[in-house]
Amino acid sequence: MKKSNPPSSYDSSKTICIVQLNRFGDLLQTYQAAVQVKKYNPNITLKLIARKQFASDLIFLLKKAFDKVIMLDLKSILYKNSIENKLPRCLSQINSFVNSVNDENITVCVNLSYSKTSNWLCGMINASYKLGPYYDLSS
Amino acid sequence: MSNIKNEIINSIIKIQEESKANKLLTRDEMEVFFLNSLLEEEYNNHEKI
Repeated sequence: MKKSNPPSSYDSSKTICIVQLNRFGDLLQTYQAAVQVKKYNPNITLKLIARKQFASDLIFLLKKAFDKVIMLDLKSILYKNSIENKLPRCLSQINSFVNSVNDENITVCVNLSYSKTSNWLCGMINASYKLGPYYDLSS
Repeated sequence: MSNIKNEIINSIIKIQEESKANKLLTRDEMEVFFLNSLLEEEYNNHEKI
């Protein structure tokens, strides 16, 4: 696993992205943690990656703590593609999703999900510092 | 969904066959594993229901 130094200070240019792909209870706990982070570091930008099926119902709450909520829409990826060429289409959507995440200029990526899925996702996110488990492209 | 699962398994087997001892995973290959993992969770959730 690659080692990098944590950012020395949290100013307005820093963006922390929290990956929380689990269910409502985990999202609520993540929200509470985010509120505290924002309270003591009001200038940082906080973003959240969550599953649409769970985050959409809590969006009214999540928007109070996060500057942006990026939703992973599994239904759209898995079920809205036609059977023909399904795999390439699914992979194309995943590629677009990861690219859109990487367009967010993330400084710190925090994986709070502790699942294989989130480990793969965090492995593909370009961030100068990563907290929590992730699969490393370079090892 | 079983069709896509088979396609993913074939893709993963292909990636593993093409892998050499020190070959690093590419972004494209990681996306296949990511999709596989999403599908596995989806299957598990359906089983629980």
